[in-house]
Amino acid sequence: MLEGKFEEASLFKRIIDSFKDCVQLVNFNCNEHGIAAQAVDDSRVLLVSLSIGTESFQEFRCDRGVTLGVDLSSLSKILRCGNNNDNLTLIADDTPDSVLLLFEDTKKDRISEYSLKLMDIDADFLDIEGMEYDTVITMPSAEFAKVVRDLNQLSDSLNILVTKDTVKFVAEGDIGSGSVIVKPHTDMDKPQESVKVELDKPVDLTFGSKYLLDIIKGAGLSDQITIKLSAETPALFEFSLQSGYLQFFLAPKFNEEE
Amino acid sequence: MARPAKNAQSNSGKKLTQSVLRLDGSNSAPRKCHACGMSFSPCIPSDNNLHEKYHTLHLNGRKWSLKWGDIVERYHLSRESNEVPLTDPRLAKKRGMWLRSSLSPTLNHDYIVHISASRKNEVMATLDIMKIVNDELRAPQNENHFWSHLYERDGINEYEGQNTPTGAAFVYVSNKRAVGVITLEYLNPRDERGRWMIYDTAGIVSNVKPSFKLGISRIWVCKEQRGRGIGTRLLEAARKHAVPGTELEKLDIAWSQPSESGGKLAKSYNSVVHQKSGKVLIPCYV
Repeated sequence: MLEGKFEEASLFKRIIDSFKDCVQLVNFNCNEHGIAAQAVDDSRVLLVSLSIGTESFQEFRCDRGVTLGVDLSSLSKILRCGNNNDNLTLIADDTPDSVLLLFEDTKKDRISEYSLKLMDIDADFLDIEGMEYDTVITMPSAEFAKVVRDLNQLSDSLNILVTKDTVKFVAEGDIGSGSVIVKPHTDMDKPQESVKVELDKPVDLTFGSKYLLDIIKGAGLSDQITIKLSAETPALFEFSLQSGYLQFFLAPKFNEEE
Repeated sequence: MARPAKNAQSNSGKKLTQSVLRLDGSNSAPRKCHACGMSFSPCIPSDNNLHEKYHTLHLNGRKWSLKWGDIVERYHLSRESNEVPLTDPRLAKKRGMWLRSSLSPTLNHDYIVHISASRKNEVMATLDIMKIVNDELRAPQNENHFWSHLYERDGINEYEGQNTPTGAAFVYVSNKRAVGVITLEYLNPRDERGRWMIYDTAGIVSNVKPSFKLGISRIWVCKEQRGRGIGTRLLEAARKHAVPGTELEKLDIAWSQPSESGGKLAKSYNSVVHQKSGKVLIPCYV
């Protein structure tokens, strides 16, 4: 039996909205540690990995592992029916064919209940832990989102160059070129405004802007984004939750001649 | 774990290609196809296409144009599956199934063609098959010069239309696909290349040097068509037509390092039993 109660429906709404546009069918694996999900987009370029720890819930219990195969566009329709400040409880039995979404408006004593049919989705859950990266950048997610949106105007590719004391975002397109340089700094008053760069090796990678535009939809979840880059592995873009994370693994573009 | 197919390089106006994630899930990890033996990553579209192509070629043979090769044997596919060679009227008559052989091959006919070394298209098509054959037999790719006008330059087969071939190649065509092939080289008795091979041990009888006229360099039938007697038909076509104007005896044909299935075919086709030891001997050449 799964019973997970969010204090505010808006958190779950924002999580789902952060990746519903790049993947459609997702298995939510629920166990005593919380809810986890993974999905790869159709082009197999972007992998989304979500973990919502029990601390993110007001109340959480899941006695036995349950997998909820969900069509995100349907889930998102139902989530729109609740108000942001409502309590939201997800309920499913041990072998569910549907999941119950319960919205409770505590002030007005209004309860609305929706049932979402589940799907049988054939997908593997991958163990993506302990990868090593050449560089790790932590920066304000809003700032990263702006860079991606701005440079997307110029090119469908965004080049990220990381050297010892700068992170340079470059876009070169038909109409011209643009670059944004971000330097590490520490903001004592507003730590979430700080930029941190840990560098083992300089990095020069290029990514498809359309995937980055998908990724920055997660910017609403967290003040900061952590970007882990390496020449050998897909880049990792991570938004932390109060307990848990939303991660995007993105395969880079490479030069055809190489 | 996920990995990009390739690394990214700087975006200095060059054409960039999006790599994809390589996921070690059961569906997406590089896997080996049991049927054709090729390892590939199902999640990489180009890899997948390559495998499909290889797989079809391997299991069902190569597409074959009606124009390629000179037909030397035809077989009519009857419903009862007792296939009758159309070139042998006696046998067909006996079974009451003599059919007027039309000049153009049709879907109802399997046929064997002789590859003319001077016609580039059919030579190149046969080479496509030979590549598969050699991959499967783990044999060198560069042993085609005796049946084709090919010579090797920097490891690449090049075509040259002048040399006189010192061998022959036959292709078995079924349903517009080349499903079997045999390549042969003429053996010069002066070279003393003939040997007897003991079937059980695959050992060579060292002190006897028999004389054979034709050496089988490669013989191969695609997986889906095995067990239909195509190998034997190819051998018979070679026996009758490999040396122009001469029909050889079965024991004029020697094998070269037969594989397990090749050894079985050799045993049934032209092995002899050594009188003293009772061992089965296969004619071979080195």
